[in-house]
Amino acid sequence: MSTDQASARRAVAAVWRIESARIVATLTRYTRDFALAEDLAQEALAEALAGWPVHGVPANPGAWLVAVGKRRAIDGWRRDAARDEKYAELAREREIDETDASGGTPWDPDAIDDDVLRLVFIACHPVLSREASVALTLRTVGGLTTDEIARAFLVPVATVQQRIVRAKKTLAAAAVPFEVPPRDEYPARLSAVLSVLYLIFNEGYAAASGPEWMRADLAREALRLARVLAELVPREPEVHGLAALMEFLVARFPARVDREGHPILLADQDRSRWDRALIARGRAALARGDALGRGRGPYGLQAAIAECHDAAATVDDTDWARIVLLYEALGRVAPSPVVELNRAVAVSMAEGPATALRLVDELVATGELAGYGLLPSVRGELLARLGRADEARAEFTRAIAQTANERERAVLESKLRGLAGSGA
Amino acid sequence: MSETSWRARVDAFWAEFDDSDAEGCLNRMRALVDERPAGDPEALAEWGGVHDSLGLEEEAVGPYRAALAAGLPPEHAHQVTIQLASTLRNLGRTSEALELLDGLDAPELGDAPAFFRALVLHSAGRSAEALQTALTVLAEHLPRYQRSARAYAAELA
Repeated sequence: MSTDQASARRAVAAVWRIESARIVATLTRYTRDFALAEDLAQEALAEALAGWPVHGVPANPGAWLVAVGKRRAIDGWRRDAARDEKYAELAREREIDETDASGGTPWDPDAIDDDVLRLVFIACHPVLSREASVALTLRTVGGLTTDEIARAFLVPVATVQQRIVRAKKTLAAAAVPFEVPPRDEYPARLSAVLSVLYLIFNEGYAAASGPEWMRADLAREALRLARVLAELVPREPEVHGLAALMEFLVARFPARVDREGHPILLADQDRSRWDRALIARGRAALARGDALGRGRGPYGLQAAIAECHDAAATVDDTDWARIVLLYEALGRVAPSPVVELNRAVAVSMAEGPATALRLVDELVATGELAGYGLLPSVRGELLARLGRADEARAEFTRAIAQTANERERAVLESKLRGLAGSGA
Repeated sequence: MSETSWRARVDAFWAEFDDSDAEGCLNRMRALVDERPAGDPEALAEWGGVHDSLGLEEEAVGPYRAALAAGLPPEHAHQVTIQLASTLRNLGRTSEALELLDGLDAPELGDAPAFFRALVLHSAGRSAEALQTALTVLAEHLPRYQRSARAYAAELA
């Protein structure tokens, strides 16, 4: 009995992970109120957690959850009926829908996809802060629990709960409609969605702190969401670009840390452990984006750079000249001093450290990267390769002072020790 | 619920505002916002304001912008513009803040726009222009030396 209960609980969790977006989206369309729909979906989930272990898992669990959500919506409207006749009418009108839904065909598959897309656009609406969008996207689209989100971002559960409650209120106060944005707003709104997904991914990928496994899970969740989005908006090259970039980076996860959890630099990774299937998926995503014939945007170009690394059997086999070109293109579509610094690193591999050092010194002169820890570390590396050990030592020392990351500090300290002529 | 009583209760909220109880403040304001129709510019401005005052600046930006887009009466819009510009400055988004202040024509606020403009310029690393902005308005308040003060200020940037 208790194993049945445990398996029923697992079933609830599994259904929720896969179906939550569709359930919230369907209920949002039904109630025309995103905040209410989110509450109803959570109530339906709670009812499933209580009921399924006792009565068994229903034949169509997703439809069951939607039907419960709708029933609760109608109950709520009935309670309000004395106060508001309009809602009562709406409830009667929709009760007819509900009988259809619980009986035969729960969802129209085409309409559902559009609904999920609307949900993504609501969760990433510009009226919300980035933090709020991240929490809302993970909970409503990703089906993560508040606890899981809190653990992934190392904040108290209450903080995530409050963030979500406030975000829902903000969406309601601003009367954000449940719709795909109009054409003139579409590019900006889509780019907001992509940057939220990328933010989630980076939170997992950069793994500045916290237990490694949870962070990798978060990056994988972002990848899953990017794949879903690419299916929903197949005609947007940057969506494929972002999905491709994530595929290429996640492919390296098995080789990224050693047994003790210490990071392994790209150059030192055991490339035989990279996930070939994910690399193939990345290539396919990039090709789908390219096939649209509108050129590559910032995500597509970063994906292409990641592909160059993933395609090389060793560091020396890497097509550095191509990477330099790709960074140049990236610098044109999305100018940034960080891109310039990366280009300099690629130049150092393609043409040698002297040319690269000139580029880095130009960057230093602009002052744009003051305080950016990678700048002294890159400059130190180039100086070391040029045999200018004393200057390299000064740069590594500066880089160590600027990093807050323990593991990064360890890598820099070992470089410092490795310098020729380093005393004691 | 009449218009004046809602405004009066919002004023009362701010009179007893206590940022040591953030959750309580948010809940009370949420109830006030709930009384207004969705998309109401005044409610959005207050919803932004409560976040701003609680140090949740990132989350104040959206409601402030939505309030301005929804169409506030001019004088209220001017105040929200100043608050939004100040919030953006605190978030390091100085170019957005400057853009707002550049488009602001609010004689009823006296030197307040210039004051915030100087702050934003300073935060943007344009300290000479910041000092110039501040001294230019200060020059008008001097009992004497006004002409030379204006000229010196003009030379700064």
